[in-house]
Amino acid sequence: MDPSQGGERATPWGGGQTHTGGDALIRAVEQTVAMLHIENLTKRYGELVAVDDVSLDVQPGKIVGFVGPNGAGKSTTMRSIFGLVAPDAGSIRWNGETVEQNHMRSFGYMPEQRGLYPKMKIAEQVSFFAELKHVPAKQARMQAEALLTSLDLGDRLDDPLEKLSHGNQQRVQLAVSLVNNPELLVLDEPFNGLDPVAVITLQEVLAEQVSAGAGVLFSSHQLDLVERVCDEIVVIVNGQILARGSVRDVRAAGGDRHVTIEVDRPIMPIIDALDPDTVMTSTTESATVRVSGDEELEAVLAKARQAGPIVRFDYHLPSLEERFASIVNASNDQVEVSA
Amino acid sequence: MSRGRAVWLVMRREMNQRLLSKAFLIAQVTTVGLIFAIFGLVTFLDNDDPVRVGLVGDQPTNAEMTLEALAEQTETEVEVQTFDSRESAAIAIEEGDLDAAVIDGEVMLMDEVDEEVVQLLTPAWQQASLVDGLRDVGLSNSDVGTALSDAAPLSIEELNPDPDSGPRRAVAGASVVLMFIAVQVAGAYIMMGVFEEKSSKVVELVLSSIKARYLLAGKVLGIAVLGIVQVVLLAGSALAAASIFGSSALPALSASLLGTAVIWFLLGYLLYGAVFAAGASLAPRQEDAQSTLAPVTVILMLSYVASIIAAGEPDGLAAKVVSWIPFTAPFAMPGRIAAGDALWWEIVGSMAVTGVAAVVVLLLAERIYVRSIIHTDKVLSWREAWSLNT
Repeated sequence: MDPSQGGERATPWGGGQTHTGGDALIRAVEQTVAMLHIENLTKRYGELVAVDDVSLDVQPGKIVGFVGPNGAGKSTTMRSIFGLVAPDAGSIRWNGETVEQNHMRSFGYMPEQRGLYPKMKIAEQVSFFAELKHVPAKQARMQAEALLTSLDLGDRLDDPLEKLSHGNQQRVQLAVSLVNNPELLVLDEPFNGLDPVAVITLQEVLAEQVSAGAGVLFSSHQLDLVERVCDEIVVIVNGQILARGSVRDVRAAGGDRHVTIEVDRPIMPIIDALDPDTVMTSTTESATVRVSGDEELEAVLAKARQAGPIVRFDYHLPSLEERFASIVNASNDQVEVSA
Repeated sequence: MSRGRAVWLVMRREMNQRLLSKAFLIAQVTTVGLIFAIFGLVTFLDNDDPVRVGLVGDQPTNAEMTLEALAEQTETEVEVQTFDSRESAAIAIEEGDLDAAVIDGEVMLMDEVDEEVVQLLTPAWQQASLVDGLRDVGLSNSDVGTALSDAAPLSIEELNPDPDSGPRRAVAGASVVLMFIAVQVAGAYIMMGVFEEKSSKVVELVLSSIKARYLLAGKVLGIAVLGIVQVVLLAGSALAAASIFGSSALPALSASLLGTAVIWFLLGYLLYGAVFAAGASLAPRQEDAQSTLAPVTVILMLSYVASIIAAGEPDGLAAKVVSWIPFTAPFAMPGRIAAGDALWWEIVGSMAVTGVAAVVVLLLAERIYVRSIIHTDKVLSWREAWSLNT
């Protein structure tokens, strides 16, 4: 599937951005600006294609949300940025150069599988990881202490990691990913296992990093967070990218609109007049219906009017969550058909 | 430069974390204590009391002098007393105040035959009688002296074929045990280090910054330093204990032994250490490691057992063979060196053979480690890991 297809399908509806004629040119320009440029990445494990021809960019100062069900290929893609997975095809570039170990000095990483040295003191530990990223020893120690202090761990600097609570260990993990002032931050499910306060802290941290010019790629299946935080989202299912763009683009990309009709009497007669497959939810006096295209919209409105006065006629894009669910369902149906 | 830095950072972390850990310090204190205890025990069992000889009646002219000279060569102390009569000497022996008495060319002992005493007295008396005989025939003192100095070494060699084989065996055996402990402990540290990184999943983060081979190299080198500290402590306390408890029983223990011990430790450690790392990297959790490490443990134990058996006869064929096989050489050769038996070219040769083997094994182990360390989800077999791609 052409990854840009989602964007093009949106245009007839006028919801998406104008990605039509100059699309190739725009992408070419984006690539030269992009710090991280992943192109046609493919990774197979035997029969299983974990990542199938994935391309994505991360621009400076932008947050890209990487969204998909478990096992969709998010972690495999992110790990391949750090050479932890050797791709079968495709390339990963950083400012135009093929990514190698020395580029990773300017990357920060929070793996999905969290883990640090249990018996190492936390300041020493954060400083160790900074030094691995070529931060000079003294500076590494200073930054580690400053960072941990800003994460409210200032009085625990000489405690071994294992003495800290789970939540605090997560903070140390975050400190490790930030301690080299990365230009690219790759966070695999960073919000997993965080308490609500820590979620807010992490959002603030991301905002700081981005305003300092870093590019952020983070994966999540908490779509409400993604919707709030991201400049761009990339939806991956079964190793393939099925949608991408701004949150609005992706919501619009399916071509569906949701119509909520509310009346001051039982709504049943109206529902009966509609195609039952399109009715998503209903109460006694209201119903939400899926429509695609102007004609269908007009038809629904006409049928509703025939039945009498309308209290509310609300017309909106599907939420990201709804959109995501329909992408995943469509993909799974396709897999079943082809299998 | 970047490579050296990565290796150094890992190495430094490894040393800092372990050298200052309580477990390491306790282990060191325990082993040093154990060594002193062993030496004390050996000395206690190896009866070092002087041999007490009683003389009754006429003796060959230089009998006493010859006895003392011989005793000195075999590093035995003798005390000579004169008794008036056969009876008084017999009483002294029975009461345990005397080991043997010589009366008219006869040796009187307790009912058990004390070989050491006989081996000492017989040649002394033969030699002294010989000198008297030669004088009687009319040779001058200087002629007798010349004849003796020519003949003496030969006759002593033949009559005392292996005067201190017991202590030498003990030293050879002890060296094998010490080298085994040192390699085994260092291997266990490597194993624990690999586990710690793999089971805590921190390895993912480390490998996002440096290559797996540098992590392995840093770990192996860092623990090598700990190992050397340990060997110097082990061998050093063995030397100290030997001098405290009387070094006469331990012919070849010397400071140069310490040097060779360090070299042999490094060779043995490099040979086994990387394999320990590879074996540990196959298991996601410590519980699974027993099976993945089984091949290494078996080879290590067999090599140890073979070396310790061979050390029973440090100059025997078995000892020579195992001191040339790379897997046994790091244990067996120090034993032979300590027993004072190895020739210089044998030492250098077997070091070279072991060194080459260690490099080959290291490269093979590196391949396994690099491929398997990142896989934290399931137990891998050696074969799977060998052909794995990341």
